[in-house]
Amino acid sequence: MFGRFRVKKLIRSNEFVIFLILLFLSLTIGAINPAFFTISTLFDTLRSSIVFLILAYGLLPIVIAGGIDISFVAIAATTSYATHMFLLKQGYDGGILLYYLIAGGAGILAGLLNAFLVTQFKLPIFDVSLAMFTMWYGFNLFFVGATANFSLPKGTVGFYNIFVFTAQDPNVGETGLHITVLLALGLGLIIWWFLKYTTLGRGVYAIGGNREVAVRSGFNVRLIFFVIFGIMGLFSAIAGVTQAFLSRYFNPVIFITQPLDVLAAIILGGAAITGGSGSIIGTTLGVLVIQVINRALILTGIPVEWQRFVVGVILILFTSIPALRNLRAKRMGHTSQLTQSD
Amino acid sequence: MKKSLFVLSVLLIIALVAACAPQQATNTQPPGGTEPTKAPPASEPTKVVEQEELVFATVVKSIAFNWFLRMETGVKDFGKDYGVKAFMEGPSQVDSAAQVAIIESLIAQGVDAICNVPYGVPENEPVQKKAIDSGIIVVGHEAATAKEGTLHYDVEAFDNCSYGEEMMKEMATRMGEEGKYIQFVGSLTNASHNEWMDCAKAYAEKNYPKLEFIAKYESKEDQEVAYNTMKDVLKTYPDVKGVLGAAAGDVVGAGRAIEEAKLQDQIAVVGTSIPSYAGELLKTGAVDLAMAWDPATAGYACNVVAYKVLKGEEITDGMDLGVPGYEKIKLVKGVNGVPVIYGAAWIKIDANNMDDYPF
Repeated sequence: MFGRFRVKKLIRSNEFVIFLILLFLSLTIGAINPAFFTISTLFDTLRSSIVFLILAYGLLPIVIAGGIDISFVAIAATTSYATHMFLLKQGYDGGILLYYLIAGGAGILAGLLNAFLVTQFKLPIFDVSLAMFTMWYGFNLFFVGATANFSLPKGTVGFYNIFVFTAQDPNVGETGLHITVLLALGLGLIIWWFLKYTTLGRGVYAIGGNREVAVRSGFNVRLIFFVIFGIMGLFSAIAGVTQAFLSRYFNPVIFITQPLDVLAAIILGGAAITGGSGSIIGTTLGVLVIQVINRALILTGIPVEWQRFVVGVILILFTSIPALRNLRAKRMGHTSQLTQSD
Repeated sequence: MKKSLFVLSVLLIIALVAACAPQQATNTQPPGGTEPTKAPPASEPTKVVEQEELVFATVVKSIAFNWFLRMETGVKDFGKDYGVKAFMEGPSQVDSAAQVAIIESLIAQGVDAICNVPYGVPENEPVQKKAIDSGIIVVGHEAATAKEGTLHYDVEAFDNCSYGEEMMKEMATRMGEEGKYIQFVGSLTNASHNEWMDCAKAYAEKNYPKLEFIAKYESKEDQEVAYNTMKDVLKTYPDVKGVLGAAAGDVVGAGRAIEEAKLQDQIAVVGTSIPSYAGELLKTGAVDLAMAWDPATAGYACNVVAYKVLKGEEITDGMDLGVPGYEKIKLVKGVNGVPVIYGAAWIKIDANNMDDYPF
């Protein structure tokens, strides 16, 4: 009895639906172009997902708490680029760790600034983030530098080629699973643990469900906001540095067009934009779906002129599937089960 | 209902922000972004020249870009060669209002000529007219769409179509004039990028029947996108032999994917870029040729035209300005009436000469 209940619950979960979507997409693409079913495509897809996974993991708690933030991309750009320009000036020649430390520290501070403005002046999260989005990119361009920089310190050269596994592909040569996939995995586990097993993490869901109730139940809302914005800043900085070393250059306006892609992935993964629900597994699958869609367009030969249109249509179709299910479940009184899934 | 309205408006705002953002991004990628098209009217050759030293000002979008710092070297060289006091000014941040204010003050100082590289062409028109009315020679650069009477001339490094054709010739030669090729543009809405690529394609259809066009891809001005796209292209079309890039990062991203696949000797990669972007890949041969235009010679040529107008010399089609790339200029009437001077001032950068172009 109990076992059957668990299977039923699994099949009903948002994550399972998104997993089916991913499977369906992959099979379709693979049927059109068998090149999709190669290890190298898998590695490539994961590689291009790494940074978006880190960004999405950092943003997820804020979305669950009912906030929409777009400043995380600007924080990623400013912390990574400014760290690089600073170390370059010092003649730094060492490894990548110092980049993570400095940028990460700066990222946490930037995140805390958001939290301070949000909690101190009771400003809407989105308003603050919109201001910070513009401010940090502007800061970067004006005070730090406006051109891409390609000179990497000696100690970091070759980082882009450290692989956990490698595979040979007849057409694109050697492809590897980059080591930073482990970094993304680790960060994902931390957020999973945080959301599921800490009081603060449960508080995030409570705030997103109903902030007033959360306050009355004794959750320290102010503290929770400082923690989740700190996480967001830290993860953004890590993502910015990682992207720079994967693509071998530092770009002052990196990610500027992409905050929506990350939000879309989180929402596709079953988080409600109004807060209260969302999960790490769903977010992970959401990011993968978007990456697979992006690759699909080239692999299946859909003309570029159609790409954006097609992406939009696919997003509407696929976001509406979980939403429809939620709606039906609500009518049948299953809401609590669905929104609490993690 | 209220809540969903809020969410909807939030999304709209985000979309707006996202839509505005790429413009900012292009400013950081010199050769990808701006390339002009058409131009303006001649007004009467000008006033008596005094014996005292002539003063030529060059005003740029912003002095914060390497691109314009490079232009300044050309302006200074012009000053030395022609015995003129030539200098460059510009706002610290791209801003038409600040640029207009600088020109206002130059009018007040009574300079003899202004070479203007406007950030917003229409925003700069009134102040350019004002300068002309007070007897100053005004020549534009990257302002081929200016209205009649707001510039004496506009100077462009090249016309977009010839540039695209030149790219195609370079790629086709390296491919042995046969095989499949792809194109990258920064975005499908970037007029210059698409003009280069469409002209290149048309030229190939006429002159290289054995070249086969696969597709035009969008890099979103992001070399990471170009990299991922190139990887998938290699899987989908393993026999691709040529790549054309429009934005400065296109050939860099594509080149990285090609280098990792160890195909640098099989695939010809040609496109707009500069050594600070493509340097490493030019050395390894993953990028075969970077094409660009040198802001130094553009700044030099712009001032030469102003000098000639000031001295009452007539500018004619086919004349030699004495500047590399401007030996045989094309003179055309721009879309909005300003006469436009086109050079053929593209530069071709490969592993051998990349050190000559430190930008």
